[in-house]
Amino acid sequence: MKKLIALLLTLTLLLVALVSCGGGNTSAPDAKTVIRLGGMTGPTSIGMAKLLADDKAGTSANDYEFTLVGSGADMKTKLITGDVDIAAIPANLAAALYKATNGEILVLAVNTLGVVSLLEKGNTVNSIADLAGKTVYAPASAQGAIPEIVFSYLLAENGLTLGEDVKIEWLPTAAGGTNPLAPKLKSGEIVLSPEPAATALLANVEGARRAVVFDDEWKALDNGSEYITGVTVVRKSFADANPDAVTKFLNEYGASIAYVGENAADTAAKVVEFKILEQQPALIENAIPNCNISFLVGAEMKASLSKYYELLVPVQPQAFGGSAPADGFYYVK
Amino acid sequence: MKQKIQAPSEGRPSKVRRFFTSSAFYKALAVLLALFVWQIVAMIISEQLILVSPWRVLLRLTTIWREDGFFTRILLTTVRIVGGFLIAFVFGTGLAALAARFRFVETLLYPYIAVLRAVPVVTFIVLAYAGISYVGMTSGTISTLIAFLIVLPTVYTNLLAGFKTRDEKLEEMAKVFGIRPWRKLLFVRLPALAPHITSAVALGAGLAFKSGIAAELMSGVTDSVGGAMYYASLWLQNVDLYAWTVILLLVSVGFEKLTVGLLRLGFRRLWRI
Repeated sequence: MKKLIALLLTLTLLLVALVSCGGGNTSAPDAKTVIRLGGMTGPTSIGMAKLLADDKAGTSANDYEFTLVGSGADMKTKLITGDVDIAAIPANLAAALYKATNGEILVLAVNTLGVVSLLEKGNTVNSIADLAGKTVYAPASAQGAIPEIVFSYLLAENGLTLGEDVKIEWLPTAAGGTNPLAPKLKSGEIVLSPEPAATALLANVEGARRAVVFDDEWKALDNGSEYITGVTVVRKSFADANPDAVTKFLNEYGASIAYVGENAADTAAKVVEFKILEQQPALIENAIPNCNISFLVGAEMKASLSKYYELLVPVQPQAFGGSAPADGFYYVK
Repeated sequence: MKQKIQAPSEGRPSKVRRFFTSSAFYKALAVLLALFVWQIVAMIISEQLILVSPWRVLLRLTTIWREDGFFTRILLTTVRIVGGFLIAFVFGTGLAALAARFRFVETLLYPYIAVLRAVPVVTFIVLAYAGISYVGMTSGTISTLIAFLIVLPTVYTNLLAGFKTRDEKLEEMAKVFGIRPWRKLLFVRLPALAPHITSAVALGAGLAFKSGIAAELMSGVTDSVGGAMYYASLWLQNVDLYAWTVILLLVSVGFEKLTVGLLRLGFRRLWRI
């Protein structure tokens, strides 16, 4: 019995020694760090498509375990419980999570700019100011989220108040069902839609056109920031323990996002392969230029994002956790 | 001297003593204990995003009513849900009366009532939610519709049972003494029906609020308690979610106690004549 215990103890010691050796030696060729990567269905995960394909082929610098969820609510739970390490989420949710977790969620990069347009069959609206006295139909998924907040901001910048000068009617969009915005658009109503649904609506409703592109309206304000939709966040405890893996991730993530602009057709195929979007590859290829997939990191990201919060937090403070996040929120190396 | 003091306390316990041995006291104690357990569990988990402590909910309740549109939300939600409840009550009573009188009506209604009773609330909400945009209804009416659909079978079933329980002897007596029909209705039929009406109201009120709020939350109705809960969950404000739940509980239980109380009072006044 004693001998057995002694043997077990020796083995344990040996194992501990071996493991600590392996862990400390990061230069070992096949010791890739495993990163549990999270994405939401929709444009904010398009930038990950190439990275996921490389991971599948075994050519990425880190080893990625990808989790795709349908909503920000699902992703927030996974981030809080530590089930994902890095995730692409809406910019307001990132700020709210930073607050709610007392600084456990940090922002690494901006991954998606404006994705919303106003569509119309007629020719009554050509700018935000033309909306006075009108009703806009929008998908219920945009309620309380960035599209509504940005819409409210753009209206205010044009002297209009959402809910008073411009009414908004939320329509439910069931997954897999027909888009209820399509009949509205056909009957001549003004429709607010994010991508890629906007591109799909334009392809299906004859005579419909992109009346107002929010990204253009935002740029015209020249307010020192961008209309940011998606950001990529990391759990602080993961970033602290794996700084090298995070740096490697940002390098290949940046390359993956750049690839979206270089080869939209191949990106669309990969987007479908990883089920990030459900539409036809050809349609996704057409929608990609309208999704404004972008990559901002470091000081550039901090400058743009902090200004963005400064502009939008007053519009709907609770959506951002009450106030703009502190400097510690920005992962700047 | 001693006996004089002891005697009354043994024969009839003092008010204080009666309070401490009453079931109300033990219930209050149980509530306090439950709150204490909740507080301890919240402190052990110590993660506001998973479980909010009762103390923080209480603190939030002292500030939440100052927010914009607080009373508008409560008022509109109550009006919508109570509206659905009342319509269901009128319809349910009418249908139950018909079904009690004509057997074939009861048979004809059976499949509808059975479906309404068995199908989960969420199914109705999702269907109604998807349907409203085509019918052209505003999203605010969804909670009225759902409350109506959920309360209707409860009222119908309870009142049908009520209409069917008749005091044969009393009716025979009314017949013999030639009592006028409306008096017979008030003093013979209604007393048999009264407990069924009261239990339908008590059951229906709670159900109406539960289902109505779920409908508001799932369809993101603005200017409603459900809408406030939708935003609170979307924006990680768990404390608000708990606070709104407490408020809702007060409104729902308040409405139930009020209607049941008024009904009982009404019946008592009526029969005292």
